[in-house]
Amino acid sequence: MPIAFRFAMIFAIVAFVGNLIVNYMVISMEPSMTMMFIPSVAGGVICLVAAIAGLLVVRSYIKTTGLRVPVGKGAVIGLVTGVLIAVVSSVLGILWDFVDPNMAKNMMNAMMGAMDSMPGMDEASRQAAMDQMMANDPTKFSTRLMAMGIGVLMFGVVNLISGMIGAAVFSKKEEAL
Amino acid sequence: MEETRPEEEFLGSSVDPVLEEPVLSKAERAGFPDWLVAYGWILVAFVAFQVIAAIVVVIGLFTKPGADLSTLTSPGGLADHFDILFLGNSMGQILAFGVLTLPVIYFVKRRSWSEMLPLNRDPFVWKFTALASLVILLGAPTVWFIAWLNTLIPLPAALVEIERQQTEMIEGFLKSDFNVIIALFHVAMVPAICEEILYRGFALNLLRRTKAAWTAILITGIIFGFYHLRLSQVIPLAMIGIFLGWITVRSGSLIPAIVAHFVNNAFSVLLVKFMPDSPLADSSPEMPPLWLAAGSIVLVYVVLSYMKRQTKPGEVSDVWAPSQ
Repeated sequence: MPIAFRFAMIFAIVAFVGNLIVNYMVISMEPSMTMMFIPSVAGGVICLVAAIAGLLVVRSYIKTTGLRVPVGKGAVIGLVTGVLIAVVSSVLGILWDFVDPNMAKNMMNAMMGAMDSMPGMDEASRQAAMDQMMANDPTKFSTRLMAMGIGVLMFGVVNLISGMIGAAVFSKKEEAL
Repeated sequence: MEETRPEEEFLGSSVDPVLEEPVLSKAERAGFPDWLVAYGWILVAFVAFQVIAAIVVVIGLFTKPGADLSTLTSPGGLADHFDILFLGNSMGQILAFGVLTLPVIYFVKRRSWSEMLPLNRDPFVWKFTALASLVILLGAPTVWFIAWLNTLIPLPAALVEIERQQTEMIEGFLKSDFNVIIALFHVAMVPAICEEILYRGFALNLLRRTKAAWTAILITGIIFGFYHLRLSQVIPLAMIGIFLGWITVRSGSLIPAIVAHFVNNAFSVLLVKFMPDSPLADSSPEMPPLWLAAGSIVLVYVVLSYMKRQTKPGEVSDVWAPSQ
């Protein structure tokens, strides 16, 4: 799996840098409702970009070995790549704490500010949402672990799918050649 | 002539007797490992269940007179619309765990549907069904004791609060003037059939192809414990899941697990309905009397030992080994 690891490293760095840019962008913004959706939308985009890794790893595998890869094996290769991306980008996130220890807290404060500025939300619901946000303190180990778990799931699933697509497409191309 | 192992009848032989070639499922021919399909589908089914349930609840709130979508955002708002919540839950289970699991079973079965959905109904199975139901009833104080032990594990305050609100909501409904038959359908019958199809039918039998039976039982039992999303009840739920897995492997049929699951859930509904002040009906239990817990553990042990000694006619000793 050295091919998977190489591509996973590249895309983990892409995902990590993408997240970093989004986080600092949100921190520097004025509180608004739009701000609430930026991390989710950006997260989705980053996930889709990272899905390219699954395609590329399967393509490289087929090119290197010259073997036809069944769709199921493509799924496994993609899944492993996705899990590696999630783990490596999470580790990079933890290391970033040494560079800027306040980023996670600032991000949480920015999101709470945005929540505060949301119109049409009754006080009880707002307070419940705030309490939940406070409970998920991003500096806590359990929150980090949960974030990594979600990352493994998200990156794993999208790369599993792209690995399957890669196996179907590139195996056919290889056979045609 | 070589004697057929009951195990092979149960899970499907992995070798074609005429061609003497391995019989592969569609999934295996496409290169999918069994573990990926098993865990992957459990995850997808879980998400599908949540999505279907949410859609049904939203549609229900739109169409029910006196209900609207603000119910979703107001704390405790859904407590007045339990009929919709139950409908969403049951629809989610029936579609995601039942109906949608069938094409996946078709994809992974090697020969027949009975590999994944064994529904043998011989006298041995019925005897096992009765004994399993007895274990569930006798084991209620044991489960209570384990649930109490589980509450000693510290959990995040926010999570405890969410679980407390959910519990209060469900208890509020069950202690109200509800229709027992409808509650038994939603709380006992639907989960007993649908969850058993997914966990003890599909996942357990698929994992057993490559793993020892005990490993498959433990894995599916633990996932079953976590799937309920109640961390304060994970250990008793996982133990029930492990027991249901054990009786499925031991009896070679899903029927004992379905009936025992039904008995377990129905017992809770009936207890809350007819004995609401019983400590067993309290979902955030205090420590049970030790004599009750000890008595229950001894009785469960006696019945389990008796079940363990029962041998299915023609059974071979390596029923616990991987099937391929």
